[in-house]
Amino acid sequence: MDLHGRNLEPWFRRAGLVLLLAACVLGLANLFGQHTRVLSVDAAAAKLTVETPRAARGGLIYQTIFRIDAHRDLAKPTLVLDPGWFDGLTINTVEPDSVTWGQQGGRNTVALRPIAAGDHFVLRFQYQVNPNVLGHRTQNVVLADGESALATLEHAQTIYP
Amino acid sequence: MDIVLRSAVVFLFVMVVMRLLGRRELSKMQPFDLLILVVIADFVQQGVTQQDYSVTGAVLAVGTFALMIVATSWVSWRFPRARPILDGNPVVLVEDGKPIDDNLRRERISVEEIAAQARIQQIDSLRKIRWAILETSGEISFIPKSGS
Repeated sequence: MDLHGRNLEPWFRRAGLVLLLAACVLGLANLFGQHTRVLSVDAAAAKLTVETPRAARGGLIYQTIFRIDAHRDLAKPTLVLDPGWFDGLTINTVEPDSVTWGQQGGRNTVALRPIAAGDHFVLRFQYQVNPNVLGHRTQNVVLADGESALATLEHAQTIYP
Repeated sequence: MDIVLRSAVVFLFVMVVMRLLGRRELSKMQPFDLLILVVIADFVQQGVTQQDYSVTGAVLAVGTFALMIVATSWVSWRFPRARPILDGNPVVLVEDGKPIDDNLRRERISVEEIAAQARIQQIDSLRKIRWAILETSGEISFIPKSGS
């Protein structure tokens, strides 16, 4: 009687190990972050490229790179960033830091220096995820020249607990 | 991905370090040794999780360690030739009441320490020992001479 059901124990253990293995394989496949991916949108006036992780976890430090390749002169290039780029994230540094911050319809804007046709501008954000943050967030980014939008890049990020 | 790879690398590194330390240090820990092990564990934690405060990260790190433990024990069971590398071999310290100096020197164990361990096993003299063996666990097992 004492041994009743004991023959199932190894199978429960094996099932648990398979679950652990699956979690580790998914981790190796970068499902839980923070491997970066490169997204880009090419418009007539400029090309916007963003390199950022699709997923992250609490406490992780990572970098996001915005690159603008101007096809024509951009007098007032501006990035309009969704709140998802800021909520629950600590920005350690922004390089170059000589940008001008603003707001447009509740979204933060980053005004850059003028970019001549054929030139490019690279902006780097160093982030750290606040430990108590989790969930899915939209991180769209609009490249504008003054008031006119040139290109919109859609991106979302998942922060795992 | 990084945390799984870091965990696997650190596991292998710690396994090598523990083998290099020797069994004696692990089986007979003094308070200082215990403190050193705790400090090593702290270094390991920093290397594996770094700034990661997430539950997901902890699951991945612990899961990787658990799988590595299962994998090494399976290799040790399945491939006997790997066993000396993974677990080490038992070492004979005393044979027919005579300490084997080379083995004692290699394991950094003094005759007095063997005598103390023997007394714990109710053996009052090395002359009464047929075999004293340092097991892979770090314990010393004693086989007394018949009749003693």
